[in-house]
Amino acid sequence: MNASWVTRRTWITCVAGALAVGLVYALSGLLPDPFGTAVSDLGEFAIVALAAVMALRTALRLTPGEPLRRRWLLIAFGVALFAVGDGVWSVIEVLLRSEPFPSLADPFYVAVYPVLGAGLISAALAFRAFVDVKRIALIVSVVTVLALVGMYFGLLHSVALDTEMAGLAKALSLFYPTADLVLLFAPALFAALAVRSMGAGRLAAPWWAVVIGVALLAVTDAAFAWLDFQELYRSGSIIDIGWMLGYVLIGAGALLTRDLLAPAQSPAEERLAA
Amino acid sequence: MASFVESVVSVLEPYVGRMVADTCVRATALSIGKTSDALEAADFASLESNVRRLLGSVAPVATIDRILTEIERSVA
Repeated sequence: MNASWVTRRTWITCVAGALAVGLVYALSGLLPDPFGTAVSDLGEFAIVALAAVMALRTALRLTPGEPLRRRWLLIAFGVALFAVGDGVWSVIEVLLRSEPFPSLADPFYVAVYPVLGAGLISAALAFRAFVDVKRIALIVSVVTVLALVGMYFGLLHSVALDTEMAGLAKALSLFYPTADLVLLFAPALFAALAVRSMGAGRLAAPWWAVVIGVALLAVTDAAFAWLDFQELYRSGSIIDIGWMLGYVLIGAGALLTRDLLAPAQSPAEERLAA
Repeated sequence: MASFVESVVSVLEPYVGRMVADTCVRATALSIGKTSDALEAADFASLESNVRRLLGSVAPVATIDRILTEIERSVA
């Protein structure tokens, strides 16, 4: 796969993003509380907020009214909602030194699911001219149902029977992992099977980054849900890397879409130069 | 000298992969009642119409414009 069309800006930003993730994780583990928690929360907020800005800038670079612009606006909105949720949680955990569940951050986290899920499904359906959508939908449905059954017996059943949790806390504890599977992982799988039709083509590259990023978010969320239920999760845990890397990948997808707009060398010009 | 179809596929393939590039060519041929091998430079307008229709939802408009310009240059 020839990646010469990817701009230096994109490569540098992706490497910087990965390094930032590593730095946040390392510092949050090295520094004593409350500084470690502050670095973890604020570092994640900054990375997600930057991803939202990248997605929004990409959307605004596209032609008004074109389908791709609406899709990226949806994705930007979803990422921004997570960033706002992270910002609110940072204030609660760092400034107020509290860890309530549910909290004021949860409405924003909950809103992420339908918005990002809709963005992914829209991206997947854009490829319907090249794939058998019904066949893909069937495969995704079967995988999702099987995964839901596994998730029920692995986690949801215990949450549902937990007598120490009630009301909104229990509802959210059941909602989050279910939504991770149905509204994030399943659309990501759907999009992956659709985008596969373009293989390593340049037009597919941004969506591979987004799909892998969202899948990583869904898996990280599920891991968090299990750890949190076992009371084993703390801010600065290694699984925080999953969230941050997931949004770095979504940001990479936004930058790759902008690289498609740049008047780089055409493949014919690349062959002449070689 | 490359045929019209070979030139079109060679421009499209880095962007959309071989399968979708062939789909664009086949769709164009079907739309004007020809076989893929019979397509020629004079059919560029039909190719443009089909490429815009098929890629319009997955690619930026500016990128599609550039792809079509590359195709037009390569078959001229």
